[in-house]
Amino acid sequence: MKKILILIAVILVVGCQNKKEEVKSCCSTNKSLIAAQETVLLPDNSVYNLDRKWQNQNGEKVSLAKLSGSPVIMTMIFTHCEYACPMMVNDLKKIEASFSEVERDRFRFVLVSFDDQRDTPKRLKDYAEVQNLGKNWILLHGDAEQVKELSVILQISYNKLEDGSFSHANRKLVLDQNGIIVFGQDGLQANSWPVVGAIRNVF
Amino acid sequence: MLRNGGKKNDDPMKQKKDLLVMWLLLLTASGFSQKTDMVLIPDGNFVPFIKGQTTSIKVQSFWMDENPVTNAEFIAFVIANPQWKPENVKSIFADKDYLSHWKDTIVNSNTISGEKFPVVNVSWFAANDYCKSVGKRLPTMYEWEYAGASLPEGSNDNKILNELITRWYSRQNTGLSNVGSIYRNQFGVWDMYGQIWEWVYDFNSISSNEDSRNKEEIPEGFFCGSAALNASDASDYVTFIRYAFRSSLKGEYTVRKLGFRCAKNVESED
Amino acid sequence: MKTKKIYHRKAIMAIWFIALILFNIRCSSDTESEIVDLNKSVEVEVTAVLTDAPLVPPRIQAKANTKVIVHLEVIEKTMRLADGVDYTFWTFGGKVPGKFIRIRKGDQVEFHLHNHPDNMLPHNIDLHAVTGPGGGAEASLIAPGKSAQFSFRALNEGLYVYHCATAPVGMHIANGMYGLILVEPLEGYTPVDHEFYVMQSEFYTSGTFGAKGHQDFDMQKALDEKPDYVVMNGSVGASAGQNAMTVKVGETVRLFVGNAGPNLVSSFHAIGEIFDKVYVEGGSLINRDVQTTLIPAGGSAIVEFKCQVPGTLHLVDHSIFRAFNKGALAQIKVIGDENHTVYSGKEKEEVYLPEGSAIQHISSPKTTVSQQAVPEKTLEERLAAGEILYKQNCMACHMENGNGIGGTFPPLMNSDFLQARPDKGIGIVLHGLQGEITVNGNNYNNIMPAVALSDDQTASVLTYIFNKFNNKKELIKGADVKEWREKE
Ligand code: HEC
Ligand SMILES: [Cu+2]
Repeated sequence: MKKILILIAVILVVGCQNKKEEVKSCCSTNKSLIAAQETVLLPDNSVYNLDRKWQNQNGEKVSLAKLSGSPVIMTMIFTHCEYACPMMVNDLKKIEASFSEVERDRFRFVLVSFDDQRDTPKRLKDYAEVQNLGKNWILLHGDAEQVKELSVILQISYNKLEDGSFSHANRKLVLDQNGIIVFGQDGLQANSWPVVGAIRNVF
Repeated sequence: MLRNGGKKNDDPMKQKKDLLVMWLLLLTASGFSQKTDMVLIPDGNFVPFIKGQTTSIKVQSFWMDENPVTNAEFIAFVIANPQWKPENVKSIFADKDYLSHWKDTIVNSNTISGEKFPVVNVSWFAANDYCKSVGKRLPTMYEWEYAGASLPEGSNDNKILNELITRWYSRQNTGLSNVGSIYRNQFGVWDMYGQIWEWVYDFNSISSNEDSRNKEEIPEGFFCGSAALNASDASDYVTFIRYAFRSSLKGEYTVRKLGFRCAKNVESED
Repeated sequence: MKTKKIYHRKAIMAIWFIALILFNIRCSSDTESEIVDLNKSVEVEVTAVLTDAPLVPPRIQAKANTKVIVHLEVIEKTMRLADGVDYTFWTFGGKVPGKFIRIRKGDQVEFHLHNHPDNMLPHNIDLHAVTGPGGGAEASLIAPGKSAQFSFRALNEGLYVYHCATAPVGMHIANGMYGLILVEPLEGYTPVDHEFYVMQSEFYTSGTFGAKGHQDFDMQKALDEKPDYVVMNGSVGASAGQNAMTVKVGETVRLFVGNAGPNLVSSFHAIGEIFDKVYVEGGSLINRDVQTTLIPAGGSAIVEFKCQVPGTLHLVDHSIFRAFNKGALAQIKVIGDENHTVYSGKEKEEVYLPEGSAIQHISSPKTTVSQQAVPEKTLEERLAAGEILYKQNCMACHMENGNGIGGTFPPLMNSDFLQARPDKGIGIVLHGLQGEITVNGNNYNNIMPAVALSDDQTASVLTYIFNKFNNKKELIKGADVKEWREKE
């Protein structure tokens, strides 16, 4: 009985969802630029032109440019979030499951935290463990300013609330090897195939 | 002041470089050095426009630029920070119309004017960087709205401000004029309305009318059909328009009537 | 145990049923009309021709599976609202109402919305013809100097309003941001001689009606729903006087009428004309012989009529103060020769007898009519002419289907009284009828006035009645009528 109810709910949701799916044409991806070096010359429209250092879940200082070389699925979350973010992580896991073991090594998931105060590298590491996130998942901590800058580029609007939590858009993006946004998807429990397709396109 | 005896130069890159040179000349000539004055905005309460936070919010005291940043001030910044020259700027930080009016106002007219016009056609990233370069920051949306709600000097009727804004919205877009020429409000800040829109630091912030712990989703279509559902005062259309304007922006966008001014924390002032 | 199972199954069925209904309601309203085949690939690409009111673009001629590209530019612009009165309009395409867009059911539309760089404000577009979030509004919100693109499939036919849906929506509409998009059935509407675009809307100005100079938008009046101006096609007199639409006598006209509001509902009426056909609310339901049709705010109607007599038709909102005191009036000038059988002009004035006991002659003296030569015609010709004559002269009383009304107007349908008459009804038409009669077993005692028809016309209308209303088939000749007339 319950199962059927859920089934119906799923049909209704899937059938009627009107998701914004925009494909941004990827401008002149220059393959010769692919290199994971610091001095890499990034295309003008690369997100990785944001040159500030972040901290990953291991406490290491990294720049976004370090991510170049393989495609990335990027989104923004915070670990105290009880509703939307776990669903978002779940969506990402579903996407991951659509790829073979070998393929999974060819791209990365990057979760950037809104919460510059509470989401320390240590806290992010714990979160990754609890959520059982694999080694190709990178969680980033930065200060309020760089979080704001990144959110502006990714078009993930958010608002810090008085209790320290955040209201925020649920948007995931696919970035190519050079950090150029090639796809964006809004909403939770969205179909994974458009994202999977976008990544395969830039492998 | 016409170059090449008035002959047009078709290379846009060259044109822009020439521009900078001209501006430099202009600046030294006009002896630009005056420091932008700031005004201390006292703390106070402010009822946010979007529902879900119906209780009024306390805005801490802060400093705000008396005037929007001018062309003259911005050119000084660009010269000191060449990565913000139109020919150098990365497309992810500013779109192709970035500072495009410099060409229009300077090259296409015989007289040079506009050094005291508010700078427009600047992206959020450029504005943000400018403020940082002078030891300031962009005002937050609440700060800006709070400062903007102050009535014109000498008036005590809310209607007067509303009428001023309505008239501005209701007339066809005209050219710009020098900063400090429209009206000064009771905080001592000039031209919050009447000339240009202004960037705020958190222009991409959103508010939810749901309990944030349970639902971290944005109210859908806030600026479309269901907008009225989320506003604290659905008839406050002058405010609506500002919120709609902000929501139509992206960080790299530049718009002909969009400029900015900077703010500063009180503590960091010494 | 068993009963429980059955109960379960029933519950499941019920839920499925409800789910299906919900699903249908939410996702597709296309139950009756033919469903568009979404899998067809695009074969032809055309750029839509857009027009300003009162003009309507030509029909797209390309075969099915067409991709239509629409470019619409938002322009904020100061223009005339009335003589000596200016207003800064926000427009789709530089005029109010916005450009007329004409596509066909099933077309794939690639929509480009451009916000002119000199504009002050962000804008978007909500097309009621779009099935999707906000009718495109969400996908099209753009800052000045930017463009947005989205695509949709025209799933439902009809005449739809489009408007800006940027907050505050009311203000964007009140300032002129609306227009019409027609989704034509693939086979098209029946051909007519003229098509026009008329859109009603209100303006709320800082000054009262007629106050000179530039007027600003007045939010309080908009909230109170008290407009100073109610206009057809964007300004007072935009489609009247010198700017009136012109047609010739005998021509057919189709009006695509929209009501942008933002607040008022329109009682759309043409003074001096009856709408032969109204596509109610711009949809597929057709009503006939309508005097005034209601057009909701954010809604439309398609009306059709034939211009029978010369003169000026006034298109008004029959909430009549709006028409004569606020500007809600457009005009169609009908030029050509008089047709006195349809409309006589004033014929005579005489003493009014409340208890009229005499037959009311509405005909001119019979000699003038009867002396004309009487052409003979085929059954088809008689039926075609007869149908029109019947509608114009008899239908008001005997009803379209010929069934009459209760005990007042006897039926012509299968009428034993008529079929028994040796004159085949000719005398009734020529001279009228009064006194007690029995038709199909019911008694009538009323007066039918004589009808001013020529011999030829009388023959046609009676032939129509005999053949279409289930009486014995008769082809009545003009000569028969002449003969009866002369018997007098
Ligand atoms: C103003 C209303 C009116 C109009 C218009 C009118 N009729 Fe009649 N008609 C009547 C009435 C009333 C009677 C019954 C008279 C009586 O009671 O003696 C009648 C009776 C008749 C009858 C005989 C009764 C029957 O049902 O067979 C015929 C035939 C007829 N009309 C034909 C016509 C035709 C043809 C026209 C148009 C050319 C026409 N009428 C227009 C009101 C009208
Ligand atoms: Cu608009």
